[in-house]
Amino acid sequence: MKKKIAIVFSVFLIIFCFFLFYSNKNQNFLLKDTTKNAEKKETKPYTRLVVAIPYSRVEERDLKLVEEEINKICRKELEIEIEIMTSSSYYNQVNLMLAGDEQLDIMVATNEMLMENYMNGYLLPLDSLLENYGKDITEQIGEKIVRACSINQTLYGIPGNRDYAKGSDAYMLRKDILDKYHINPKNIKTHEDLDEVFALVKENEKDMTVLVSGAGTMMEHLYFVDAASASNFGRHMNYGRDEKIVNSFETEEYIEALKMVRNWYLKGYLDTDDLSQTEPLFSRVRNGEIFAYTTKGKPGIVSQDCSATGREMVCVQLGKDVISYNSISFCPWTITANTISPKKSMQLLNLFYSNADIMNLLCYGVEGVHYKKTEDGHITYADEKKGNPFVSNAWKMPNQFITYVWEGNDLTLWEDVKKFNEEAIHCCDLGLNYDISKVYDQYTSLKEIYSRYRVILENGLVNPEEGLRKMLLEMEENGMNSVIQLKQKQYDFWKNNKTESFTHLYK
Amino acid sequence: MNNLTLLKKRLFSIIGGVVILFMVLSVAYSASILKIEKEQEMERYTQTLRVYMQRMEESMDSVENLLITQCTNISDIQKIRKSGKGMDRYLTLFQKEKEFSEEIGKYKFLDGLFLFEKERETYIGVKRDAVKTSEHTAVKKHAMEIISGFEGRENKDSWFFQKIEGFPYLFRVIETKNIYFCAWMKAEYLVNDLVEAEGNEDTLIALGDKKGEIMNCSESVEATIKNQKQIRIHEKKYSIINVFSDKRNLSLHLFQRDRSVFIVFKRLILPLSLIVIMGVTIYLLVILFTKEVFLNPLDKLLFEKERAKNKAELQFLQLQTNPHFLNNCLSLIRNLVFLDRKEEAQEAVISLGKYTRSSLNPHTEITVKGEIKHIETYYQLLKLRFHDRIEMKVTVDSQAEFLKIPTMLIQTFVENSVKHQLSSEDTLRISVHVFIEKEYLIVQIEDNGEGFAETLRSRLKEGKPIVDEDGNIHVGIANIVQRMHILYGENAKILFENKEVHGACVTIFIPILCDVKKLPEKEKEDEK
Repeated sequence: MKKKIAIVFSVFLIIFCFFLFYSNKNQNFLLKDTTKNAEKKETKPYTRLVVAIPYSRVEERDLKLVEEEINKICRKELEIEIEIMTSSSYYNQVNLMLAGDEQLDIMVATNEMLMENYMNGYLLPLDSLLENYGKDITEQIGEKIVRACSINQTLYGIPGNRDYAKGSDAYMLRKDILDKYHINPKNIKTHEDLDEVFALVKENEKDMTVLVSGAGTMMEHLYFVDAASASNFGRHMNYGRDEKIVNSFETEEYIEALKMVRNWYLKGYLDTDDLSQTEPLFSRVRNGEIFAYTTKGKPGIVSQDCSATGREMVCVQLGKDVISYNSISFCPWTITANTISPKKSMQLLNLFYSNADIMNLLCYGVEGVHYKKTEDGHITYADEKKGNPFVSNAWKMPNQFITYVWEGNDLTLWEDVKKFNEEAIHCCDLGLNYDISKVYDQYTSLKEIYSRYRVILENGLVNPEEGLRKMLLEMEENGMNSVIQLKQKQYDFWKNNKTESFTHLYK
Repeated sequence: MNNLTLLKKRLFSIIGGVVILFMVLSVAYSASILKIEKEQEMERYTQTLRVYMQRMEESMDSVENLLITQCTNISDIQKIRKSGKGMDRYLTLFQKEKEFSEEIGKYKFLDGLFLFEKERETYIGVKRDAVKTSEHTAVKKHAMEIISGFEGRENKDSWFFQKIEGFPYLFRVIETKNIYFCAWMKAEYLVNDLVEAEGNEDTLIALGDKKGEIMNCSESVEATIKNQKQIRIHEKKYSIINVFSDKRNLSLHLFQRDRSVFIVFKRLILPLSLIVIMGVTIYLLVILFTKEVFLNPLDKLLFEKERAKNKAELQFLQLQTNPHFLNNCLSLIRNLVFLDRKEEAQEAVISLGKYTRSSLNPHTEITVKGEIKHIETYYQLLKLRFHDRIEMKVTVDSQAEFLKIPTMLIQTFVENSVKHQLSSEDTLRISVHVFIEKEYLIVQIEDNGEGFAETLRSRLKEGKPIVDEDGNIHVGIANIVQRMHILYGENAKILFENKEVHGACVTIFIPILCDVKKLPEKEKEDEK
């Protein structure tokens, strides 16, 4: 009888197990669902701020990882959450959001966006907000530099900590080729010296393009050319020190530079098909197609380019280190009129500028996923093959100076950059943002004209005299003089009324 | 125990049969469901492919329009063709590049756009952000080939496939005055959305031209698909869905791995094992419970007759030792001895001995002769007691002498008569008549008493025990009725009648089961 009971019991046990298995399966499913819901519910109490950052080539997936990590800190520190908005057509997307009254709390205003949005009234004045909630920002950036984003004495943006100066007229050369022909780069001191080197390379390395542009045109490494800035139309020459504003395209320096590039083009140093170039610079250098390229001198640039190209490079700088226009306000962080909370937005910015963890996340992604620490205190790729989509965007972030240093740079990089900014020549209008709203139409036309001509002119594709004549004519017809006059008036007024001197940035 | 094993076997085969039936049914059901599902899935896939094809066609239409618009801008084209002054030419080329980069993002599937001037091999081109630079470089490098490929075509007004560095691309070229405007789409990217949405290791998506030649597929497939429904790729069987474009040089193919057997198996493994387990459980439970609840009662039913016989025998034995009768006989013998009637006493002792001995007969049946002998012994004893007050006459057909009747059959009725009808005034006459009529042995017992009361008769007929006025239970006749029923079933019957004058008459019909004539010899042998 005991045996029978045992059998019956075991049979029931088996059936029971089956049902348990089934119900368990369902229950787990339900559990998962409820946890999901719970998570969703949890997020509700936090204020959600939308932050627009012009990341280029960062995938949504990577960005979400960063966003989540940042939110962990933000929830704790400020009881808010952020949503990072980015787009390949950042400018259009942001303008649509602003015009459409969509929530947008913090925005990086690249290029002319600061001026444009100021004109459209999309920016909040930040003076009192900064005073009340942005103590750390002032501390991190410096009182003086923060003021450089003012328009008509009102603060509309907060600059990021980065290199404001550039080492002008700089060239990055391949060291192995220099060594091959026993050229000491230290002996290259003038454009003539450089020309000789190019001629030698052209003669002996038939398959190689001697010189290409590192960014934009063949002239963008010169102090008086800045494609992405209003400073092009009406400029202080002599490294920004001449108080008289002139049309830089009429100056002897510009014409000489055009002639030099045209000369290089005619001698065959440059790409003949520059317009149709499809490959990015660094991979071409890596492939050995290129001997030299123009660059912007700054601390750490050589080691950065060495690791990017996989070759040993040498930098020859013929010009001086200079802040030739008010580059501090080139890419400021702003609070828009569509914000749901100006106070929280400023608090968030304050956190951004002072929290090294958030800055590392914004600049380099998530540790272990996008980067890893090295033994000597640097950081590097977590996976060399996948690369790091964030690092090329790091300069746009609020405060790089509190982040790690990428492998290949000196650990003192950020101190060096500060020193570089401080010691460079400072233009006389540093800290002044010209209010060009009155001549904005003219400015737009000028920009359009320049963008058409610059590529063919500054790459030496056409005869510079003829081309320049045409461009200048068109510019004159479209109000170049009125822009220059307005700027001069504003400069004079500003100079006479300014309370601060920008001779020293950090003192 | 044998019965139990048999029962187990039968139960096993029944439940086994049911289990197998269920299994077959669920397999069949599952297979039919799967078939319907597959049809629906195929229908859905076809729909998806059609929609996707339509999207591609629409995109291609608008890209064509773009190219045509570019071609119709005569002034730009002339500026590009200008051989002399470079200025306008470069400005226009740069303008074109800008235009292209503005346009490229507006067209779905469009990977790249370029302008090619054959004479100077001028290439101005842009690519979509997501396209790799190496692919753009490849297209640029092979621009000349693409153009000559286009020149060599008969039908110049259509999209065509060409392989660049081993990868198939779809091109559309429009030429005007030796300037070629070309739009290109990499086959891989063209179906990318579809592959991401629908593709997996069992679902391959391929792009082909209008002849059905596969251009791009996630697995390397080189085949031309016309109308066949199945294909083997890497030794695996796939069913195919084809959608051919009506107007474009395009076709979409979806290869669905045929895994129905695997899926059916996967789906059924749990239900089938459940069925088996349930079957086994039910089997075990039934075995267990039938044993306790069902089988034992059945057992009782099966052996009830046997047991009833045993019980009858017991009752019979009880009857034999009727203590009253024994007591009466013993007091009779004592009186005879006391009166010094030695011979009579001796006779009584002998008769009692005979009577008791024949009463102890263990068999359930006895020959008529044996029964008659028994009654006669009983009669002798009665005679010694009651002298003239009782008289019994027995007539037996000689043929009936060796037929068998239930033990104590006649005795019970005779005893009954004596018990109830004997009176001190009249002589009780009992006559026993045994004879054969047709196939019945008939035993008739008559007396000259008062006959049966009506209520008594009906009770006797039903075979129920009789309760007299003193509350004593008389089971004798009821037992006989029962025993008769056990032994002969419905074939035997007993009639209880009252005679016209005084007295009762009991007629017993017993069926003759075997040949009467053969019996005597056998019986005689038995007696010896």
